[in-house]
Amino acid sequence: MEAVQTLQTERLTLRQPGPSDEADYVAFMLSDRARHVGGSSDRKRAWYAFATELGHWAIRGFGMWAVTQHGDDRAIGFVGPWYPDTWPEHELGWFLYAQAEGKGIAYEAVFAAREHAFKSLGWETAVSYIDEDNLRSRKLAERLGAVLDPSAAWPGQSAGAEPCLVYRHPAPEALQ
Amino acid sequence: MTQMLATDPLKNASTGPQQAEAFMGFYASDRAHFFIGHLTREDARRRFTLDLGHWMLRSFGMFSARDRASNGFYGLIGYWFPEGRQEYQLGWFMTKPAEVPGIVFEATIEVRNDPDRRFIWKTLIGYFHSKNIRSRAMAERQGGPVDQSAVEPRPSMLAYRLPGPEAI
Repeated sequence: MEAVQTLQTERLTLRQPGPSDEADYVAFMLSDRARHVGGSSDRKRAWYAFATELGHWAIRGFGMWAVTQHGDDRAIGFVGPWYPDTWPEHELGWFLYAQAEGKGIAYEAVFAAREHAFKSLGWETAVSYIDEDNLRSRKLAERLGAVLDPSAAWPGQSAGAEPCLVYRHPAPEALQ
Repeated sequence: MTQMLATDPLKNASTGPQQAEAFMGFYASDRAHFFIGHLTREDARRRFTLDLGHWMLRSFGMFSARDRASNGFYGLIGYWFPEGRQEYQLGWFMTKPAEVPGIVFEATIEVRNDPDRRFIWKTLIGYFHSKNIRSRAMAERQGGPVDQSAVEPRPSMLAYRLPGPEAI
């Protein structure tokens, strides 16, 4: 596996998730805050979701970053690239634990993850899949300059999955 | 030296797409019927991702079993212990080429003897569908009686209690 990578922002270190993140991640997935991001009331499913985060890194060499604050390795959320085999295109996702809310952390973290996806992973475009009633995430997408793309496919569309909104991020050139 | 070689799929997960193809092909085949039942390609990919995550979290999981000489894929042998399980499960899920007398038995014993992990558990549990005659016979050969008191994951399954490392 590749050397451990991190991304640094003014307040945050984004790092690859590992086994030490399991308990907080599972607790989050069992909470109501996770209702828009595949949360579950079933502990096994929540654990499967976490194992899948790690497996995504193993298969792709990238995945969602664990967001930490400088000087404290404990994750306060996850943001970044998500591209399982079945996704229509490259996604930037995010979710923060309750204690990280309301401090501009998500914006700062996703901004850095997006820059890395464009510059280092070579992505040419990125979307975010967001439930229509997830107003807070829609606001963040808009603040990041993403706009609705009604022509884009959503995950599971061909299999009859419920639609979600697709926000398209500005192209790498537009962010220079 | 056994004919079958069991390897950790994490070791070449990112560089060995054949590994993913082998696991996914198996999950999508009829052979997975008793295991997790014939997955779509999407679900097979999800399952393989989960297999790797299981390895990363537990430091053990399903090994990829291959022919030592030809590297041909024989199937999966290994451990499953997700959140919520009370017991360490040992399972084996084999493709047709592995149906050579003795080699699954040998390989399973070798996996159970793996020095890095054998002392994690005192006993293992094998869950097999009541109609899965071949695997049930294999569990019995490994010394496992049916354990009526074991927690079964599904009603159609039988639980075989496999002896711990000291019995091997």
